Amino acid sequence: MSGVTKILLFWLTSVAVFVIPCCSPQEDGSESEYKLTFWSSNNSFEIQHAREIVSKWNVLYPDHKVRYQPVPEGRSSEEVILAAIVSKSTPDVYTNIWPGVTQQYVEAGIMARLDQFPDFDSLYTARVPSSLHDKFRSKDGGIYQFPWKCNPIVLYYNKRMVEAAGVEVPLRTYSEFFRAAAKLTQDSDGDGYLDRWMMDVDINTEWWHRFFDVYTMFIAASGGKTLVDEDGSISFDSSEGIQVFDFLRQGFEKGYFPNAFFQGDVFLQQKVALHISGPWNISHLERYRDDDFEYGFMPMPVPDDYQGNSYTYGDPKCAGIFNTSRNPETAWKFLKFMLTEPADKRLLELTNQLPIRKNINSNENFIEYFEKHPQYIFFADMIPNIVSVDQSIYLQEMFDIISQEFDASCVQRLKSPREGIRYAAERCRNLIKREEL
Amino acid sequence: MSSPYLIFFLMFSVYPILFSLTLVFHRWNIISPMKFVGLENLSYLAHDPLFWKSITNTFYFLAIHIPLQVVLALVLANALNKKMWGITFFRASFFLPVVISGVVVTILWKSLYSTETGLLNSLLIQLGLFKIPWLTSVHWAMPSIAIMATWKNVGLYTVFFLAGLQGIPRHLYEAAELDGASPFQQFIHITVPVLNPVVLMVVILSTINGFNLFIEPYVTTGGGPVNSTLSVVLYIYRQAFSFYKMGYAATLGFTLALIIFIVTLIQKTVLEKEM
Amino acid sequence: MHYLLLLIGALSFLYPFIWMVSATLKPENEIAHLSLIPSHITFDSYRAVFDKIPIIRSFFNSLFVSSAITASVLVFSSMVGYAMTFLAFKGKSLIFYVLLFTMMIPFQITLIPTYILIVKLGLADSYMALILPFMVSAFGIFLFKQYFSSIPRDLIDAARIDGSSEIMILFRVIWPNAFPGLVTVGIITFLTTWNEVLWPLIVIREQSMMTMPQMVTLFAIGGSAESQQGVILASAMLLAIPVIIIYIFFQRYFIESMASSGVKG
Repeated sequence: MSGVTKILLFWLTSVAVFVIPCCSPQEDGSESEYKLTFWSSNNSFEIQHAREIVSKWNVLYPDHKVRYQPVPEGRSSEEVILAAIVSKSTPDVYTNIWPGVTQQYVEAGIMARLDQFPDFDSLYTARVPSSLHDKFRSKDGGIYQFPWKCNPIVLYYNKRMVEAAGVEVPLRTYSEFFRAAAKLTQDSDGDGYLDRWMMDVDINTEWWHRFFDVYTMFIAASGGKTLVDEDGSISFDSSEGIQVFDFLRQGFEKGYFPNAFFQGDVFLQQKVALHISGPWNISHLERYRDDDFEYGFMPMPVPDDYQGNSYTYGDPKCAGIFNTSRNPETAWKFLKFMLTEPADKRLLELTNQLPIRKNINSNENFIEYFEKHPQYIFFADMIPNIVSVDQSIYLQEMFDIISQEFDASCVQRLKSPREGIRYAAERCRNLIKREEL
Repeated sequence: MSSPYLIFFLMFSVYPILFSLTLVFHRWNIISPMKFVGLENLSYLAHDPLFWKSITNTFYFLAIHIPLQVVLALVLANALNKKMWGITFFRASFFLPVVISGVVVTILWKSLYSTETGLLNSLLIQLGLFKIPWLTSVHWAMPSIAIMATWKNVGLYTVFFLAGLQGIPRHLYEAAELDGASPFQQFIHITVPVLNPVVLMVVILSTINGFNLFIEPYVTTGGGPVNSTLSVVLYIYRQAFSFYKMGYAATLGFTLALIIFIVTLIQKTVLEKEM
Repeated sequence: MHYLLLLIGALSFLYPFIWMVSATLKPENEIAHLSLIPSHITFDSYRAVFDKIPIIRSFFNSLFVSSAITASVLVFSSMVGYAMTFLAFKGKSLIFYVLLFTMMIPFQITLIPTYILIVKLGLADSYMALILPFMVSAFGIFLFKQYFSSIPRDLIDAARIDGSSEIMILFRVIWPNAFPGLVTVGIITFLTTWNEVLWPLIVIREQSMMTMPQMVTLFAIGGSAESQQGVILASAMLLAIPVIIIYIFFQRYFIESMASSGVKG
């Protein structure tokens, strides 16, 4: 074989190896008939909902067909979007935007500004509760994300265990919580080791676990504050922040929270009396629970001296339009279609997730749903009082810092809550300083 | 003839190194344009408590892992260096953890180490002792991982030592025995000097292995408790793929490579002197 | 007693696996019990694994990727190794030192740029992302160079006189004579790529493209609250079984390959 032949052979085999294994499943046939691409999360119920909305739209607007694709299953949809951003293959519309990453996208210039559309204001004020109006605004004053749905975090409790211990719910304050904890934490089989605990607090230090302990408790204790105040100061560097850390520390110290990694769902296994979670847990519990397992909800406990409303973390998700869209006007129309009352009604019915819509409990369109699912009324009541996250590009790192101080101060108890909060606040301050450079 | 392949090879080896070097002086989160920041990444690294914690964690790991590894592998190799029935079986069992994926070993040991339901603590309770918080205590977590890593790799090093031992002629030992040397003395004066280069290799390989720890802390403890099991690669992975701080991650990578190079150089010098 | 010690040693390496097998066949609540024998054998844990994750698909992904890489390394690395040993060309020394240098660079440095390269080429979530960076291995090149240098030059010269091209010499003359080298490089490459998990974690997000170790890892640390201990152990067991089966039959080759690579390294 001559040298040329060899080289040809090499490139041929390389090309063959390139082409034969199938490409990413996102490749479709002809794209020309679709005006828009729409992505949703890969939650199976949300997929159902998305499919329904898209087919309804495609019937109404056959000249502006929407192609629907769920985000592929994987570690986190943020990473998938990132890859799409780099390869410039972002969709037109996406409904799984977590507000914590929006600022990064905005600063990278890839999000379309929504409040530039003429009918934006009327839709926004009609749908979004007034308490949340400014919470989704980016640093430059523009709105690049439309709050879509939420999952307010609450405290679940095991009815049987609570009754058996003679505890009265709801447990409003930290003191009430600890009095109950003393009764509910037990060594039920007498082997000298505790095997029933008050509540499971995740000791994993990955930053997003803090949404289910420190962050949501701080929101409740501070009357709805996020990590950073409007003037840029660290809001958790306060007595409330210290109270939250102290609460968690006491829980671990007295053994009310188990310091261990568990496999499986300890709330389902009835090893813990209380569990912090969102409304998504309901369908999970219903599917797997034993017959004698009954549960209820209550708001997050607050410091004894707290006066005011019950706030909580809402785990909101927003909808947005990427700047790569060639039909932003149509994309906006489709987005509005996703946000109508009938679409929200189907969202509730199919996914049991709450649209961020004001007065949903008194809206006649939704009465039917709440009659069938009275458990969700509790969550719907909380919608105006949900809190989102700061629009900061350093959000995840701040949570990571808090997570580490949580580990040191509360779980391992190597430093006092005050020291932990102070140190975390200091580190966050340094981060924000860099942001301003 | 090999030029296309070499070009290809260079693209995937040399280019990344150069690009990495560029990243050290920039801040970049992939979606926004790169921002030149000069030596900022390096100065941040110098004061980064987490990075240095991960380095000291690694040294702590190595301090337990290497001696354990070397001693165990030597003992096992010595024990296997005889003709006996079932030697294939024994050799195969020591070597089994080496071929099994680190993922399997880690998941298995995470179960064994479980404070509440793990086999080890169940055994301890049966023996009338107390439960040990293997993976949830700052004092036990890293040693637990070191033990697990030793268990996984000792078979490989045993085989290396075995190969070395089998190169020693029997008559050397016989002559020494005739001279009245005890088995221990024979070991020190005949076996150890011959095996020194193998020991060096085991030490260097274990060191590189220690600095490359990723899947073990990732699956068992996530780097905790209080970052006592945070490994350097895990830290880099988080900086790069959780926070998208590509510039800083590149800086960490280079520094780690430098540290590994220096450490192995020192080990080589020290151990080769004893030859 | 010597024998007894060896037995205890072997047991301490085998027992955890035996325990794992038994734990995956026990009902969930018996896993914490010390006894190896379950009250009844149940395959529920395994059933749950197949229900929850596409583990069979990941097995084939791993098989395909590892085979492709091994084939590629065997072919291309031996080509380069051959060129380094038997051919003279301009810049040979330079390339040799460059190769040596790149082999010493730890992956921590090249991890991120390679990831960026893959993403910019649009190859994320594809087989190419898993295969490309590993297709030519400096380790392989060096090992082949070692093995090839022991092959007598007259064989090569004779074949050249006969009019064979270099490629044919490689495959017809060198490969048969360096068979142990091929086996060593083949086994080590296949094994290390099969067990590789960090790289897939970085470039593959799409579940249907994940490799088996990656899928089991994510399953083990993932938040799927239904996954009980037995189920996770079962998934790990499934990951281990293919290697264990091959190992039982070919353990001699495994051990000898890795031992000889150590000696030559």
